[in-house]
Amino acid sequence: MPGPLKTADFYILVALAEGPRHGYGIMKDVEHASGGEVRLEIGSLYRLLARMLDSGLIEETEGDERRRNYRLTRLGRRAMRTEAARLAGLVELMRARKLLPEMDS
Amino acid sequence: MRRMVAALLFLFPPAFRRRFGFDMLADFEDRWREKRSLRLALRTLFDVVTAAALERFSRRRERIPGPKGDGLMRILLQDLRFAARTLLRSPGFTFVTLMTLALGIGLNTAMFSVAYGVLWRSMPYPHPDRIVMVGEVDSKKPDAYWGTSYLNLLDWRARSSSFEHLAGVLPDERVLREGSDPVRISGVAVTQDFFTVMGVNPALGRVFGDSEDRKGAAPVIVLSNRMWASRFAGDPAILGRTIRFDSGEFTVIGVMPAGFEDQQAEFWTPLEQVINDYFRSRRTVWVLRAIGRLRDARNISDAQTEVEAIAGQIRRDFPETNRGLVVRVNGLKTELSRDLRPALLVLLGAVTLVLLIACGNLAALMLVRGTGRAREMAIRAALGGRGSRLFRQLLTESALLACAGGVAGIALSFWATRFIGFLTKDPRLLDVRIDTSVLLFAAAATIATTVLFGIAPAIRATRVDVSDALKSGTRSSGSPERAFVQRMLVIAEMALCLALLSGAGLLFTSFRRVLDVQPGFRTDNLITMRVNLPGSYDSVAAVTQFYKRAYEGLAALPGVTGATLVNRLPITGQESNGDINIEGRASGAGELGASTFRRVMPNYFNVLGIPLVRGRVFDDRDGITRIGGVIIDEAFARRFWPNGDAIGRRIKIGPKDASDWLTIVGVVGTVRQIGLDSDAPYSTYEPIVSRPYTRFEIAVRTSGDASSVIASVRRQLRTLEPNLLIDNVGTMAQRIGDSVAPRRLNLVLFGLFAALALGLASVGLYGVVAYAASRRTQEFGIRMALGARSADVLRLVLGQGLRLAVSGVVFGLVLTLTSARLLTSLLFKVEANDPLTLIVSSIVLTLVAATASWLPAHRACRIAPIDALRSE
Repeated sequence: MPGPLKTADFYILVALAEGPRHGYGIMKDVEHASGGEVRLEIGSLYRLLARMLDSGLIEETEGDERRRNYRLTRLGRRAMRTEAARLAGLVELMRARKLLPEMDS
Repeated sequence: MRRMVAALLFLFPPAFRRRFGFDMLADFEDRWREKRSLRLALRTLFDVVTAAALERFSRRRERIPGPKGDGLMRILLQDLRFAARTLLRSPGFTFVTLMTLALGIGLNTAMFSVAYGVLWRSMPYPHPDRIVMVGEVDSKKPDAYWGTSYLNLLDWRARSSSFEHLAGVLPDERVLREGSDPVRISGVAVTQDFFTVMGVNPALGRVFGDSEDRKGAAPVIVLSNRMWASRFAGDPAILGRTIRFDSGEFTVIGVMPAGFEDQQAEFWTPLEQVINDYFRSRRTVWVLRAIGRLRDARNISDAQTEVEAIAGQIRRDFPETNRGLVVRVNGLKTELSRDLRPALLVLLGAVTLVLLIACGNLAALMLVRGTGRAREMAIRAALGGRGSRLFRQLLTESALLACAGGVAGIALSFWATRFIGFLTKDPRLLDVRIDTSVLLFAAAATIATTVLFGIAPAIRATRVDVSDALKSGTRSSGSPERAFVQRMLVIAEMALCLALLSGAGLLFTSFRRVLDVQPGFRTDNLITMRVNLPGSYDSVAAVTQFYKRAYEGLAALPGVTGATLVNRLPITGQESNGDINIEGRASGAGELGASTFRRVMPNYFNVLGIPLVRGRVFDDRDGITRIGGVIIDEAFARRFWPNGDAIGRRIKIGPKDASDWLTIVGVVGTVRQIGLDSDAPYSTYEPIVSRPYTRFEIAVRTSGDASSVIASVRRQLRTLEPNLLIDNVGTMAQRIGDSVAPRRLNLVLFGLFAALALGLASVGLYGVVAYAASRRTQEFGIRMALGARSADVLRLVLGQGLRLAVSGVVFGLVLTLTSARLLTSLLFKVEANDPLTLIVSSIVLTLVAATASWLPAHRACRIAPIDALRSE
């Protein structure tokens, strides 16, 4: 997948990294993990899911009787790791150039 | 909420919806269950609508090959995407705009869907525009519908050539005795060509023909689909079955298709079998309605001219039919909705004004926003954006907003039309469907709205002087021109709002005046009900015996102080009447006016609390050993015997040759028999025992709360006669409440629109004043630094708001004075230009406006001068 991942996509991938979830589970996890920064309601959530399904980052699995679950594909996991590495690299760079407020000390 | 989200899912492309729809709903349900809040509701609505829009645009883009594509389409999509992004970036603005739009468009759509169904939706018959209703009406009071008599109908039919067929319709109410409980059912007796006129074939069996529409033929009946389904469980073996009414047995020969109940009839019987000899033989009993199908080459006015000529000849031949009547031919739909038309049109007008006011607010909002974006526009113009392109882009933004608002509005209108069900029982108003016409209306309203609030700001925003805009700081000051437009908008809003407020005031005054009308009897603690004796009571003795037992049994109940029986209690809505003739006073037919007739028990006046003015009331001998006594009301007595010498005079009620002379024995107070707001004809009373009815009404006066005694009254009557049909049970207060329900509906809806208008207009005023005040913060700082007191600043800002409000009131008064007469037909005992109403509405509007401008004024004068100076 070329280019950096969008923030919301990344959060969804992270949410699914812990195991298959249904849409509502993803909504809650993303909201919690981002500290309320990223909030997805059903409309935008399913738009993103549709796109990620199409590009093969995630796939459908069996759900409960009411709906499907989603889980990461191998590609999705790789995309997530790549993105994490990219972000980590950025943080590393910032730190090296002393552009971050001191967090460690 | 769930249904609303489900409805909104239809905004998504079908493929997307099929793929995710159920999951989305399930997720939403969970989320909603977990934290049910307005915030979540709004977030979700907004999210779903925008996601759907984005999804649609992105999908469409995929279908267009490459970015080159069709130039226009590409620009449009670009604009749409850009507009969506821009709008999402200022959610506050977008939210306020969307809500205003949804409210405006939603209420208009709801009101239109009701009015359209009642006034304009074509009836489900072939060529419904050819079906007309023909009848005589009072030439001075066109709302007084007389219809026609049997003999006149025969002449109209025989001598006219405008109609393929002209059918007669007579109301036919019967008590069905199938199963455990008897039930009253309204149908119509019709001539056999009625079905040909309507052009509808039965769904089952057949309709009656010439041989059955004949006096003395074997009784047959055609059922409505509704009656067949609800009373006979849709039994396919219904044909040929005999069903039992109080009045006899009928063989079912057909069932009409669903949807043929439009005129609220549950069955059709052959007119010739049902009509009695009295109706059959008299030209002066107007009991029928005539419904005809026009011939192809004829139109309504041809038919009207022709039938009027025939009717004129009949009036000359039979002078007793000459009553100042005139023939009216009208489309069936028009005639059936005639009474609702004025109110619906007025309400449509009112709700349109609300939308206009909403547009005013939106335009003002767009203008302010345009100013904020002047720099953006200037930069884009400087980079080569052509004016037309920028204009189009701004208009796309408005259109996107309006469309989203329109969609939300349609969703809102679903709810709004439900709400009407709480206010009326009129089946015509409840048959609301959101169909193509309604959606087209919503679309048209949306487009009109876009044009109204979008174009002017777009024109202004694109006429920016580039260098000026770039030079001025990030906050360019408002131009005087824009401020002027804003002020004009607010003044216009205020003016429209005043028109609505005065309208609501007039309706309110009318409603109060109707309730203030003295009905002429005591309405409190009075139980009312309608009763039918079974067919086994077939002699005068049996019926009068029951009367006596009933009123004695009821009067003995605890909590009951009196009970009485009458053929019809007051507040009937409409009732028949008869010509007055007075002995020794030569008069033409109907010349002296008409009177309603009541058959009462001796204690009627006592139980209802109708005062005796002169003479005496009936006693037990009246109608049995003393025949021919009548009691008249005060209005009657005063009109003909102003000197108080009515007692002992003889009168006739009804046709001269068919009724006996009655001697006036008493005069009682005048009662509003028909309704509080109708100018009733005179009233006469005769003893009920002289002509007993098996269908009558009962009034029970209670010592305490009437509703608590209803159950024991019912039980008592059932004990006396288990097969009694009891319906229309309630209190007189409810009965009066129901009689004014149409007025209440008009008042509530109009009042609601006026309140919304007031809210919107004051928000608009607030916006303008607050914006102007914030622009002048620095100026205020200087003024205060130079010694102005905060009261001066307060006066300055408040003054600006009030000046706008007062100008609005002045224009509004002109508008109201020229348009208020549109309300005339809805008013009661108040003039359309009632000065008091105008003054009060002006004061209310000014006070609300003062409050709206006081808020920013207060804020402006509280700021410390040093902060004010620093503010820019």
